[in-house]
Amino acid sequence: MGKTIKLISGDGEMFEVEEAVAFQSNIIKSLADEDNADDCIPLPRVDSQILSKVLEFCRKHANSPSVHTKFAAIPSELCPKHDGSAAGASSSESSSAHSETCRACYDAVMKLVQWDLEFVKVDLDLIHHLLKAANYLDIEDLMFMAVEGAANAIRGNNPEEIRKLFDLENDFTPEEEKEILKEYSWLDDPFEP
Amino acid sequence: MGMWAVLPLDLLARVFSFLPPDSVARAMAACKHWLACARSRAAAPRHAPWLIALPARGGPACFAHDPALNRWHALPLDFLPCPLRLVAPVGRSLLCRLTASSDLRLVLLNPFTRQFRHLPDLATPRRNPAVGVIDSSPFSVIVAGGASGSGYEPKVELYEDGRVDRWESLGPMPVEFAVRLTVWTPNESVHAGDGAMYWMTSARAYSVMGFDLRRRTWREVKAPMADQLEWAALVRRPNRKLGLVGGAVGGQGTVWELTDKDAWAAVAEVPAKLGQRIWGCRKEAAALGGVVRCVGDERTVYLFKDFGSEMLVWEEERGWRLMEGRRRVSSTPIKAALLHPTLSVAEIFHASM
Repeated sequence: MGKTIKLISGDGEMFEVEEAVAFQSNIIKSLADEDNADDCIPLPRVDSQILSKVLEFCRKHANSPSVHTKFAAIPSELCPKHDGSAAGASSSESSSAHSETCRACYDAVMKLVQWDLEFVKVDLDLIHHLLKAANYLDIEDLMFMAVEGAANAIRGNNPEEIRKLFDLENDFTPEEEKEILKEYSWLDDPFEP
Repeated sequence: MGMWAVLPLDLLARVFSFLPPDSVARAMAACKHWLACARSRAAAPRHAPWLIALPARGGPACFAHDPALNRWHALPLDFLPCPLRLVAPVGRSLLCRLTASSDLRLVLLNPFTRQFRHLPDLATPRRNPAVGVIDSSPFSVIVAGGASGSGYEPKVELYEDGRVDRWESLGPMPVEFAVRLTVWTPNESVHAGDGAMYWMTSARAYSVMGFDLRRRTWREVKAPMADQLEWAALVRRPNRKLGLVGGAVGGQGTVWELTDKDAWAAVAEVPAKLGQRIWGCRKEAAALGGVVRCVGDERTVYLFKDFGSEMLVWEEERGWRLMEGRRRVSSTPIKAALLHPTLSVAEIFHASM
């Protein structure tokens, strides 16, 4: 176990996690860099229920290639085939690009993507909280996944279905709603030259 | 109660940026907060741009091709008081010219949001000059060459949007460049990372001209395979270098890039079998006639013959692929450009003077 960081949620619960896990948050990373005798970082805007979910995500994503990283840019020490442990990798290797044809890396990233999708399946309340937490804590992968989760719930649905899923009140009159859909109806009409 | 109804606009805009336009449109109709967000914030485009085609002689509509669904849409232009001809894409809009005016008069148009705005008249009125776009925010436009009653106009002028409401002179230019740019008016311009605006004559033998915006000097760069190229177009490459796509009909198609030493390096070749679907083989080519059209930006290049025909698409990471054409191919002459569809009201149309 490497160096740990203590985080305090908005409702006063303490979480102790490895630096590698917590530092996926750019905010936590920069707060920890400042001199802090207790190594205790307060996060007043995140409650314990959400923070524990965020940390579960970060734990899974620590020492894994980011889902955004182009495969060619994955450093070789993160490749499962090369025994993934970051500790002990020589500094000269750490910045070298990994082969973009490495099947092990590709599979690892795909598995991670699948895990992410399962992580937020269906629960838009959770996605909402994770979206705000990812924004507040500046965690890129979590933001990406929460946004993707929300977008998936919108994609292909009509306005009424969207309202049900996202608990939105319809504050349009029927005429207003018709006008909006009419304005973009061209998107539904294919044209033959 | 709905937390999503009050989600901060920036976060909501990010969600919309992951969606194709038709999903954004339906999301807009869900509630007023979502409508306001999508209308006001155009998030950075994540999907491939669409191919927009305007009929060369104007018309009641223009056409937009969605690459994700390989589908064309007709966008009405009935809100325009006069027909327009496409010049170049700028930001999320199109720079166009008034078809009815022989002197160049430029108009900014967004066919998705149905907005348009006239640019001020040129300092020196002229016909058929070269037009170059600097796609920054705010944008600038350069006009060079052209002809008037008194002959060729070897002058360059610049318009910087939002700064002053007029064109400013950038001084004279060599007459031979003015002549070439007027007689073979370029179809596109590329503002490259070296600070130069590049144009290419619209017909063979292709000649590429560069105008250094800082030093205000001109130079000619020979096109690759200059004597053999039968179709060609300039494109911007991802590293902001100048690219040229071209080929000999019935032969190969190549993507080149201009290197620091003014030499052309081949970056990609069109696979022969795919290329033949577009320009036919040597024997057919002479009979078919017609010209291979090329439209591209940093990430995508389209090659096609006619409006509605099969299209060859190249993306650096995905390689080449064919997009099936429509049943009927139209012989309507069109000018095309790549543009990201917008559903939000474009601020560029509210530039205050």
